[in-house]
Amino acid sequence: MKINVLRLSFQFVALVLLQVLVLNKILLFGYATPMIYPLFILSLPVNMPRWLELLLAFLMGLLIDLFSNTGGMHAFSLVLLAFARPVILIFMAPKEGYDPGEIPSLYRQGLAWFSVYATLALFIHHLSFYVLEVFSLSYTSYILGRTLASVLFSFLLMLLIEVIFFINPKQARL
Amino acid sequence: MSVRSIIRFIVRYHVFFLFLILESLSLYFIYEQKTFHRQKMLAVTGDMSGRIQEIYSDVTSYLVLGAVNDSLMAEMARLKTKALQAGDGLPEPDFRSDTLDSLIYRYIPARVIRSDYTAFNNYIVIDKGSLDSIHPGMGVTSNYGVVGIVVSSSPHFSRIMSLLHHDIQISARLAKNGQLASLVWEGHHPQRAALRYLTYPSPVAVGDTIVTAGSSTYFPGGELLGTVEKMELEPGADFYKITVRLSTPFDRLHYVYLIDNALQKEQETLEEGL
Repeated sequence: MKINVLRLSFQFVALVLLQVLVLNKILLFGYATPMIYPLFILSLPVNMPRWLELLLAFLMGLLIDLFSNTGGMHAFSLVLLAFARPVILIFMAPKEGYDPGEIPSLYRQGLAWFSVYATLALFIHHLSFYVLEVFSLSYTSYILGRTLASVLFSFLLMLLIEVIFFINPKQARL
Repeated sequence: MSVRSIIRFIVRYHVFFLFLILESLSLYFIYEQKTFHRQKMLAVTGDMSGRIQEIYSDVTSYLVLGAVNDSLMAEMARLKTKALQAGDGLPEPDFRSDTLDSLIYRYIPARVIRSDYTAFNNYIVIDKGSLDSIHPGMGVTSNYGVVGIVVSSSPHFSRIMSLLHHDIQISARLAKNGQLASLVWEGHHPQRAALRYLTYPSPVAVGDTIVTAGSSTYFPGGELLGTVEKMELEPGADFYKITVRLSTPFDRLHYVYLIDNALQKEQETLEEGL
């Protein structure tokens, strides 16, 4: 398998900066704060070594935590997502299986597949994040409200980014 | 079980072990950050993340110079008006209970390095610490109004529990008649808080000013908290249900004042005995 280190590094840095400098400061309707950096983990090749996936997730989460004063909440949630992704991928595998080195994307898999894949992953990530943030069961409605609102917001932004950067088939295969 | 089989076991489930290790590490960091203000803070880590954030705020602070100037001019205008009024011998329009306040309270300016307002519990980091005689328990205001309370300081930085925190409760009063109440943040909106325990009947109306009561050791009386935005009285209830629009814009907070209360220890010692 060939990993395009340059493309990965660019995505990594760009998503961290976008999250820390812009998205963390958004609060829509008092509920929704988008987090789209999980897109980095979501668009790793399907046969990425799992240990590498976990380490990258940890590194990225910790970097965002450092800039957002959140201890290790982003790291925990992203590692959880990275651990769950192969399971989601197996559940959603097409009949003929994935191509080796295939990158899950809106362009390759289509809107329906990508929507289920992304919202499921985002839900795991966001729910874990808000549970850790509140750390109390007496605010369940707050946790669920923020999770659902933020998943919707993050997903729409993620679609937008997919459309802008990955819709060109040549780029998608880079 | 031989050593070889243990090693084989670990190699076989290495992904799961790595997952456990990384998650435990994350949880440890979270724990350390959440108990930050209760324990004696690790000066090194606190200073380090403070410095990183200071660099970031140095870069972005140029973008807001205009807004900062405007707010300083507004503050100057307010103080000038006050000085004129004092010169005319007119009573001050707020609830400064005691002229001795000016001797008891000392204001120290500081720059905000980061201000959170989208989290469940929000904190603010400023660029002054224990070397500048900042200590936990100091009240924090701005030229807009009350900001929060200092909860920890490293040598060069301090962390403030902002009004937007579920553990904070400020003793407040209605500026109009001095009636006491209590201000808490119930989450959701960074500009709205709830005023509790304002007893019926009261002349409270939408638009009324809410200020600090001055009974705690954190703030002198009369510091601006906000204005009444919405109020209702359920039939048969003893208290009003009031929503306050906070006067401090936590998303545009660049400079704050820390309040050093010379009599804080004395009052706290006395009240502990109560």
